[in-house]
Amino acid sequence: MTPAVKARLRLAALLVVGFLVEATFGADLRIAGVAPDIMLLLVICAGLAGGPEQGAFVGFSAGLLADLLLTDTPFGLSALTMCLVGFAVGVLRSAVLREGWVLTPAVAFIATGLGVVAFLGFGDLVGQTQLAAEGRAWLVKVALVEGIDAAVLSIPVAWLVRRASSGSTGASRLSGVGVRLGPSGPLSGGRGPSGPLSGARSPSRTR
Amino acid sequence: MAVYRRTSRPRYVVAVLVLAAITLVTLDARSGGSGFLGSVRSDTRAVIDPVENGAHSVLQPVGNFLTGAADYGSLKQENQRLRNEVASMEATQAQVQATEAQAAEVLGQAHLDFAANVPDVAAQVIDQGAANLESGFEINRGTGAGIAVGYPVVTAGGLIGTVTAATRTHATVTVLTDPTFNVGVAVPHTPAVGAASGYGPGAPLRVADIAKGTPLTKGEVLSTSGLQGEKFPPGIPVGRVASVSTPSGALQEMVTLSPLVDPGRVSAIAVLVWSSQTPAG
Repeated sequence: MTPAVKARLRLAALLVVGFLVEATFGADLRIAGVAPDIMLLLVICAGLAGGPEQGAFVGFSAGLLADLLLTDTPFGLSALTMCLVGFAVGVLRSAVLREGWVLTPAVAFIATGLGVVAFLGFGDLVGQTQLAAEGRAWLVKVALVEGIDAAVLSIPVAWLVRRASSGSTGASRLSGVGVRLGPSGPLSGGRGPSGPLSGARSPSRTR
Repeated sequence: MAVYRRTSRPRYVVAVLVLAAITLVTLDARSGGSGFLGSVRSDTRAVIDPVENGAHSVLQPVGNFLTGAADYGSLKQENQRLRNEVASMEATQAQVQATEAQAAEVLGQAHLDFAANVPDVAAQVIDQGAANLESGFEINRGTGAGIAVGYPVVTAGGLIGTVTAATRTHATVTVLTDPTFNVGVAVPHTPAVGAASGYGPGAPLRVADIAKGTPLTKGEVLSTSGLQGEKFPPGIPVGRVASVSTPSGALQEMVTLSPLVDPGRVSAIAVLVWSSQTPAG
């Protein structure tokens, strides 16, 4: 079994755990009436750890699981939203963002807020106008509180996702980018060519 | 040194996944949520619900303990230990009182004045749901207890919502403040009827189709109209008139209703075994 396949299995297991956490006691974690969106957070962290392709795949899968828990919206709406959020975060991470201690919480906060807005927007496009009917104040509150939740939870969750996706094609590529783009040496993540990922990078990149 | 080669593969991947998601959305929307994908959702709920119930039972005392600890965190350590003990005892006592109150409330459902001829199933609210953009809750009874999708849900105070999904052991209730919720209401002592719609948690219901000049006063209680084909039997109190106004040039009154029951605080409900096909009793 190659490191990339192992990474996929670990990510799949992480998604299932996230799904069970959200399904079983997600409602108990409400702050100001708003529950955290753990699946969306996993997607954002996957995009940060593995780039656009991993972000899109994890986003689609996490969205399908999240759709199982909803009753009012059509199946696939969360998958569509999270797939694009994961892809966008991954693109930004591989092209623009440089790793740093504040990156993960900041991206988690912003991307979660944008994810809520995107879900509403796509919902509106497919006739789910009731999603926005609860009023602007409530939607802003949902986006803000979910964003804050995500920023706080992103630190342990991002660590878990980084561990799970180490060895994946995307993570290996990103660590390569880090070495190449960093103006003053390897990025603060410390995953240079001599790190634990370097062995897995070559075969997957030459695919 | 490793060199990152930018490829177009991620763009193709995301395009395929987006198309797949749009296909799923289309298929589900066309089947009205009752096709294969709807049954997958329902089956998932059937599997998850018992786990969820168990998790609640396990985590509730932990949550209570953590809440208590957080409340007393600024006190000295010894005081904290003693106070936690007191808090724990108080929590136990409050739990007993709450259980007794719930039992009384459940018993109260057995005497629903407004639905005397309609059989009902008493149930308890077990979860408020993790979705932030859907207003509803889970109850601890399902199709095994005779509950089906579309059945009205009430408390002793009045209408609370309708069953929108049901598994063998649990059911999902969409509350009357949800923006997808509509109910026909009748103005007492007049032939006037209207349609009340939800506008989100905390917001009053808005009533449309009340003809201009209909005598309505603030505080008056409107009940379900029960017209032919309606989803609810007649006479269930829905809400109290919060405001009435007549915009200049309008042909209808603008009426808002405050729900008689706060959906966020309800703990025990009764599901009326009634559908629009049920013959009048």
